[in-house]
Amino acid sequence: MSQATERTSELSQLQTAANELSAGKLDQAERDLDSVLASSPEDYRALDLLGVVRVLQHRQADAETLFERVVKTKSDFAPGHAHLGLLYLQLGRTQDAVPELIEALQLDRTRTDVASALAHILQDEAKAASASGGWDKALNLLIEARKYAPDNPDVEYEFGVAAQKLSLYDDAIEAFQRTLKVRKDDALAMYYLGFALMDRARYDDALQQFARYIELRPEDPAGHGAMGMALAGLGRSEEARSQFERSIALAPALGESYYRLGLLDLDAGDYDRATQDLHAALEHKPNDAGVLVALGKVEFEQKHYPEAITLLQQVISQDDSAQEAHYYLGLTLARMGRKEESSEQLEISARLEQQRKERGRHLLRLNKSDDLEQKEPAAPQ
Amino acid sequence: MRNSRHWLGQTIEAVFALAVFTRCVLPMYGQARPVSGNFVDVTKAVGIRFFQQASPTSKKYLPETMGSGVALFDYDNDGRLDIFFANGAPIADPTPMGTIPEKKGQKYWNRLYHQKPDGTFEDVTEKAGLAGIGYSTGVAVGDYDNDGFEDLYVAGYGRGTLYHNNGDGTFTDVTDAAGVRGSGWMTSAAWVDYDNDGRLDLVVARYMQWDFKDIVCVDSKGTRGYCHPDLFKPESVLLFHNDGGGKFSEASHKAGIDKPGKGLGVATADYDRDGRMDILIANDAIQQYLFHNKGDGTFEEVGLASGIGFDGGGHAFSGMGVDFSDYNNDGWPDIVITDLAHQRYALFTNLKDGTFDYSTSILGLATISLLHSGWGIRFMDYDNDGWKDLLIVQSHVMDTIENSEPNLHYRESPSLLHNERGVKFVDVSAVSGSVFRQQWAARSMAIGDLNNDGRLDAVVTSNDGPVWVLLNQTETANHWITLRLVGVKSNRDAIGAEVRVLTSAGEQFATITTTGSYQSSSDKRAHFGLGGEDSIREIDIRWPSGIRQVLKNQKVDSILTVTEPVNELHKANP
Repeated sequence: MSQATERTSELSQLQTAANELSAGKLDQAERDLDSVLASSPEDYRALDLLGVVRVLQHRQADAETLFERVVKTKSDFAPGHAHLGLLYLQLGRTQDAVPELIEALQLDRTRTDVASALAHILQDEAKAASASGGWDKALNLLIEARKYAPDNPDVEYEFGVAAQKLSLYDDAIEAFQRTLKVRKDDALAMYYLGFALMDRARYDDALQQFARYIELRPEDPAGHGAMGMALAGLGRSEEARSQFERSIALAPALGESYYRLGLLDLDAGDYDRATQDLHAALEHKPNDAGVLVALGKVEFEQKHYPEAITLLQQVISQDDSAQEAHYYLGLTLARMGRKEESSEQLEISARLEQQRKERGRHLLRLNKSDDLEQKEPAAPQ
Repeated sequence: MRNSRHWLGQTIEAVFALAVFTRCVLPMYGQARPVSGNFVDVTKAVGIRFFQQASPTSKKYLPETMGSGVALFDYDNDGRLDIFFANGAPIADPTPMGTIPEKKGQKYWNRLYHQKPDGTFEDVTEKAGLAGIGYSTGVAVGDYDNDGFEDLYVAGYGRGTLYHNNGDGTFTDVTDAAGVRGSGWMTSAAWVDYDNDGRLDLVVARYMQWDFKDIVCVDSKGTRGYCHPDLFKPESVLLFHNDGGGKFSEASHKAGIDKPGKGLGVATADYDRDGRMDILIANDAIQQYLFHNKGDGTFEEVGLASGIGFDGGGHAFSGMGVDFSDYNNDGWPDIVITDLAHQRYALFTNLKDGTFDYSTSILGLATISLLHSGWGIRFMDYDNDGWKDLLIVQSHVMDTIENSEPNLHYRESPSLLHNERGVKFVDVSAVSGSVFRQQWAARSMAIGDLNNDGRLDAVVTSNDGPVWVLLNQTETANHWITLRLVGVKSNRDAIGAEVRVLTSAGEQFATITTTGSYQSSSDKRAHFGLGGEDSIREIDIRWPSGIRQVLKNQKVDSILTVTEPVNELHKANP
C-alpha cells in the first residue's frame, strides 16, 4: 500500500472512530483507534480520540497521559489542549486547566466549550472574591468572563450586580438589560435593574421594572418596597406610602419598609410619625446605621440636640466612616455652640465626602465592552 | 446556571437590603392648585438682537459652556431699565496655554441697549463705549463713586473691566486707575459696602485655576466633553475695597475671604441681621461658602457650621446660580442654589440663630429639580401675592449629555415655581406661557420691572445663542409697590438697606441688592407684591449707615423714591 493510500485509510478509520464515539460505541471506537495507532503510534488525532474514550471510560489517569502525549506531539492541535484542560477541570485542577484552555482558544477561537469553561472558572473566582468583599476583583474577573462568554445572561447578571456594588450604575444598567434581552422574565434582573436606574435618578424607568417585577411576584414584599422607593423618587408620596404599607403587610418583620416610611415622614416634616416608623424599623433592624441616622436627623430637626447626639454617636461608634452621621453630629454641635467639637466632626465629614467623590471619579464608567473585546483576554488567576 | 447567581443575588430579602446603599431623599408634597403666570417673549418686538458668542471648539475648553451675563439697570436715569449683555471672544482651536482671548469683530461685542419711552430698545454700545475687550463673563452694577449714575463692572476670563458712567450716555474704562483688573477666571461679581463706609466695594468670584491646556475628558460613551471641575485647583475670591477717589485695593487676604473655592455665583445679604452684609459664594462641586462679616473689616467662612456647605446628606453639589433672600417672610434671608441634575436645588431656610436648615425636600424642590440643571435663579413675586416665587433658567453644562444620560437634556425649559405661603413651592411652568415649553441652553438671568407696571420681568441669556426678554403679563388684581432707595450717608444705591413692608396681611422683607442669580445684575429697586392689600401701614428701612426710617400709610401700585434722611437721624419719617 502506498503512503497516500495508507493515510486515506487512517483518516477513514479516525472518522469512523469519531462517529462511533459520538454514538457511544466506545469499544468499537477503541478498536479502530488501536488499529490506527498500531501503524502510526504517534498519530495525535488517534491519541486524542483515545483520550476521550478513556475519559468516558472513567480512566482519567490514562486519558491525561494520552492528552499530554498529544500536545507534546502536536503543540498547535487545539482539541488536545482543550481536552487536557477540560480533563484537568474535571479533576479539580483549575490551575493546570487554565493555560491549556487558553492555548486551545488561541488556536481555535470557535471553541465555545472552552470559552464557556473559562467563563465558568472566572465566575467561580468572582464568586469567591465577592464573598470576601472583593467586589473590584470580582468585577475584573467578570470583565474577563464577558470576553469568553459575551452573550451569557448569567455572566451579565453577575457583572451587573458587581458593577452596582461598585457604583458603576451605567454599566450595571447595561448588564441587566443584556440579561433581560435573553431572559425576558428574569425577575431578579428586573429588580436590580430598577435599583440601578434609581441610582441614576431614572425613577420612571425604574418604576416600570418594579411594576413588571410585581406582576411576576405579586406577593413579594421586596417588590412593593422597591416600587415605593421609585414612587417616592417621583414625588408620588402617597402612592409610595401605600407600597411601603403593602410591603409591611406582606412581611411585617422586614424593617426596611418602616425605614422608608420614616424617611417619607422626615421629608414631610412629620416628626412624630417619623419617630414612630423609625422605631418600628429599629425593632426589626436593631442598630441599623441608616435608621439611627434618620432618627438622629428627626431629633436634630426638632432641636432635641442631646438626643440627636446620642443617636449619631451610636452610629459612629459602630462605623467611624459613617459620613452622614459625622455631618449631622457636626451640625448639632454647631447649633449647641460647641464650636471646636463641631468643627472636628464637620471636617471628618468633609474628608469622608472628599474620599467618596474621589472614589466616584475613578468609577464613573468602565470602558465599553466592545473595546475590551478587541484586547487579548487575560488568564484567570 | 441559575444557581450561580446566588452568590451575588442571595435571597430576595438580602436583595432588598441593597436599598440601604441607595437611600435617596424623598420629597413630600403632591401637586397643589397651580397659580399661573404669564411670561411673554417680546425680544424681537422690543428690538433686541443679541447672540452670545461662546466660540465652541473641538477641544471643549470650559469657558465655552459657561455663558456670559446680563444686567438690568437705568444707566441714564430716565426711569426705565436698560439692558447690558456681556459677550464672549474668539477662541482658536486649539488655543495655546496662557492665552487671554480678545474680542475681534462686532459680533463679540458686549452690548448696551437703551430703553426708549415706547418700551423698545436701541443699541447704544458704540456711543456708550461698552464694546469690551476680552471674554466677558459676569456683570455687576453699582454706583461706586456715589455720583448718581450707575457704573458697570464686567468680569472676564483673564481680566475684568470697570466702566465709569460719565452721566452723559458714555462710559470710561477706569480699570487700571481703579486697580480692579483682577486675574484668573472671574465669573460673578457683586457690589456691596461690606464695611458700611458709604462706598461700594467689589466682590469678584473666581472659578478655578484653569488654562487652555488640552485635557481630553470623555463621557461614558467615549464622547469628548467638558472636564469636571474636580480636575482643577480652586481659586480664591477677589475683594476690592473702595478706598474712595476712584481707587480700590485688593483686600481679600486682609479680610480673610481668600479661601480657595470654585465660585460661580455670588449673593449678598445680612443673614444674621447684625447690620453688616455677608457674602455667599456658590461653589462648583465643593463646599459652598458663607462669609460672615465680623464687622471689623474681616470675614469668617462659616458655610459648614451654618449648615449651607453641603446638601441634606452632607454631600457636595455643583453650586452655580444663587439667591439670598427671604422667601418665607420671617425677616431673615434664606438661600437657594442651583446645581446639576440628580443633585436637587438646595434651599436653606434661615433659622435665625446663625444656622440654616436644608429645606429642599420639605418645600417640594427635590422632586421638581431632580432632573434639571439650573443656572440663573431668583426669588421674585411674579403674581404680587406677597410671597417670593422662584424663576430658574436651566440647561445641562454638557452639550453631549443626552449621549450618556438619556433622561437628561442639554437644552431645558425654564421653571417657574409658585411660593405657597412659604410652606412649599409648586411648579407652575406648564401653565405660565409658551416660553416655559421652549428648550434653551440658558445661563444668566436678571430680574426687574422693565415696563414699570408693577410686575417683575426677566431677561435671560443662553450659551452660544440668543437672549430672551420675558415680559410678565400675569393676570392679577394684586397690588404692589416698588421702592427706589437713594442713599446719602449710605452708598447711593442703598445696597444693603433692609426694607420691611407691613400691611394688614403681614410683613415682608427685602435687602437692596443687584447681586444673585448667575453672572448677572438685577434691578436694584425693591419690589413687593401686596396681594389684595390696597394700603401699606408702614415701610421700615434700615439703611446701611444704621439710620432707621419709617414711612407710614403709603400709596400702593406705585414706584416710590425714598431718600435717606441724614438730617433726621433715627427719626420716623412721615
